[in-house]
Amino acid sequence: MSDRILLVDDEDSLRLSMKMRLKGAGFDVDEAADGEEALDKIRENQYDVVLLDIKMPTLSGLDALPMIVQTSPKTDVIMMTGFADFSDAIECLKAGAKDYLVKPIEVTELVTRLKTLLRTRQSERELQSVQQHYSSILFYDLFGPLMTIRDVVHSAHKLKEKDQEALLGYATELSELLSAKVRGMLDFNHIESGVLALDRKKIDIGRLVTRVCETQSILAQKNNVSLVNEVQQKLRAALCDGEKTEQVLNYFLTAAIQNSSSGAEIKVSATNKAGDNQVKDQVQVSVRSSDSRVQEEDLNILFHKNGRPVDGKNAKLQETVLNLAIAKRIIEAHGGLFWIGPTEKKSIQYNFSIPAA
Amino acid sequence: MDQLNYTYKFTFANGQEKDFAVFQDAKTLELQREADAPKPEWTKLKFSQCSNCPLDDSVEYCPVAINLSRVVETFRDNDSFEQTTVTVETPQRTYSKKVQLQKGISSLLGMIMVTSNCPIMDRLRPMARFHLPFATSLETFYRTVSMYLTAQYFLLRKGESPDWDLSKLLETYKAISHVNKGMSQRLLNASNKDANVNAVVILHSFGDGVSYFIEDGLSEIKDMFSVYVDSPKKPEPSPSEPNK
Repeated sequence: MSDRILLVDDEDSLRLSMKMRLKGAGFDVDEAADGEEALDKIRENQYDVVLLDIKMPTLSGLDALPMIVQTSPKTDVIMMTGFADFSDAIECLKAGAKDYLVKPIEVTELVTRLKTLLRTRQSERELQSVQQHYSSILFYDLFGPLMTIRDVVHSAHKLKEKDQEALLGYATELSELLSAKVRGMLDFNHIESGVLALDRKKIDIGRLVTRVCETQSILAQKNNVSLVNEVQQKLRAALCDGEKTEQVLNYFLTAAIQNSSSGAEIKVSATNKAGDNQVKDQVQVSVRSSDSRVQEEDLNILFHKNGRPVDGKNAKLQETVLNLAIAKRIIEAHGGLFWIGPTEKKSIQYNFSIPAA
Repeated sequence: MDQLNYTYKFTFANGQEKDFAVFQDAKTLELQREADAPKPEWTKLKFSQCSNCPLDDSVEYCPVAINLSRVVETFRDNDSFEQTTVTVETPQRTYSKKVQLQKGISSLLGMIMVTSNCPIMDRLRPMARFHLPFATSLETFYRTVSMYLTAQYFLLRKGESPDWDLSKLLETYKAISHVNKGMSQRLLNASNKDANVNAVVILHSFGDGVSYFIEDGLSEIKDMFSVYVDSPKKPEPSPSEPNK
């Protein structure tokens, strides 16, 4: 089904030419001559995007925007004006518009922006559905280990001291696994609702990498993969939230280990990366698996690119997507970069870079 | 010298009136520039010069901007959607319509822009002789293509290769689109409100529409030409007529 656009402008020649162009580009286009007509149509139909002129008689775009956002919160709005006024633009973006275009509008540019916006919406929707599905299976995932922990607690006093120790160790491992899963969901919900506070300090990334590798070595052994740690000499410290950065590296390693074939090698490296006029010096951390079952296109959803939909039955891939989505947002909040690649054949590499201190 | 005289009269709701007279050379259709046309800073060629302007540094003022200056300065504080009655007197007839101000200005600017000796806009100059105030998009598309195909006929008569598939007209409109953008930038600096800029935006949207109209093989009006294009149908035999 084509994406539905509502084009709102008081000038009929502009509506006609834009409508022809947008239809030619594959969109389903409806039109309205002012804000009131637009609202009537929005109440009756579902649109993906509204292209809204700011200055119109009867009900202007500025006045119609909050009503549109309220009436149809899932519809994105792009404002248009012939008279570039920066204060209007800021007001519109604050009121919920996604973008702002100055007339005369180059339709090729408009089509590109529309496609990008719609792709982002699609990815966000897909990510939300992954989250919902993951939430629903999470309860089942929590239930089994919780029952085991309860049984351990109940029966521990009946066992000998040596067995008690082993059983409690197992219970501790299970409770860590549970808290990690719950923390992941809480983080995702926090980040999606815009709550992400960073406590930036000077952090020794080399030590952080070593510590995470040690923690993850048990999981690596269990999955029969080897971990190699390569930290560059004289690695610079990073200015970051140490706990959150550790969480990102944990997500990278979990993603790499859980999705690697038996016998694979996982290399964790940390290097200095020189900046330029636009980007400050960075510290880069990469995790590369030599034989991964997850490929780059499985993770395209993270970058709003067209890719394979995430299979609802593949819980591990869902967990990976969700964790990497959290990791990406944490890194971006640091002003850093998150990317995947280079990839070749079965190997995959997860990377992030954050500002050096 | 024979002249063609057009007058545009804008009558606002409060009774205020603004008149503009446009004189063209009847043969070349070149606009006769007013001797005392205002020359504000924004009319200088170098001021937001169009990205594809072929004029060199020896030209101090943009020929289009100079000719637009009186209109633009008059409406610099007007909103695009103010209601006005615009009356246009042409040598042949008088048109009158209640329209948004942007539409009236657009009609006037369009005529001035194509007769001002801009090397790019001049390619539309023949249309000025058949000026149609407040034209709809479809009327503009048809007049444009008709004008261009007439030009190809003259090329054919001259022994040159006509551009029947209108590809060079598409190129012309690409260039015109740059001029419209450049001009809207100038007018943005010359105005406090949006009437002038939106008038150019309307011209730009006409141009964009013409381009799509051509790319789409003029399909919008194709059926109207079936009498020329489709083979005539044989009449159905009447029931009383015996089969042969």
